[in-house]
Amino acid sequence: MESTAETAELAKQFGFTINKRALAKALKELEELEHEAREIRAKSTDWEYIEKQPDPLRAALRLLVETGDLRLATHIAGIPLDELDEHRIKAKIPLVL
Amino acid sequence: MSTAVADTCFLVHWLRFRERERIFEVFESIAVPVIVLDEMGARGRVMLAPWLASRRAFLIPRINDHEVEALRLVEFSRSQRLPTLDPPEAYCLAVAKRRGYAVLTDNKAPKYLAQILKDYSTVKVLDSLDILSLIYGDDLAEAVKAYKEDTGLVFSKTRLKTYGINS
Repeated sequence: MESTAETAELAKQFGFTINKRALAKALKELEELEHEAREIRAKSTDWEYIEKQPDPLRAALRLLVETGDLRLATHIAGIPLDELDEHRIKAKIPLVL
Repeated sequence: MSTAVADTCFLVHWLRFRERERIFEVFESIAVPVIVLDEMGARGRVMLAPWLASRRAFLIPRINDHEVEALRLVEFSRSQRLPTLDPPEAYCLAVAKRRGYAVLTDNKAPKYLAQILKDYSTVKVLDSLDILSLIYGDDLAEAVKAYKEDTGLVFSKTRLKTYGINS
């Protein structure tokens, strides 16, 4: 895992400047949010709906429960984002913001 | 009032919302990059069509300058500690910085990158909850309930608390 200094150095290589305090705060917030989000997704999901779907849609929905990453799941499913979102709603997978 | 550039996830969710038209109480117009439109399926395009027809939304073509900047953002976000930025949301950030627009996205990566990168500190990045708050103010709790019903989106307890809602 990179340190904040390494992330700052990486940013410099790409021509960016980072706010180290904001980075530390963001990483803490993200960890907490993802923990809460993962629990909510796991509790609410209709696994029966997911398991009835053909692959690669089934694999995409499983990935969505695990990661919450709608765009990545869309790439796996090979369908437009809003079509996958329809399946997300039917599978009762909440996206947590 | 100002202009916002919208990412796909935000549009797909917001266009499901029963009171979606109220977004124009906050923004005069919504910019939609073609890279975003390309990700949307038939339903999203149909829902977006009236906004485009009435010129409240407009398309942003692929422009090399924005694509180069978006690639720089995507590559940097691949750092293990940061949420990964996808090309469409990176493109939105690049457009927003250049044109002084706000960014509308329901993904975490653009919001956090704008906080972390000093170069993007002037770019305002808003998600559905931020927009609902701007529109509904004191009636936010009811709006959040309706939004959840329409979109299947859930807001974290921590964030709701910052808006004075105890779920």
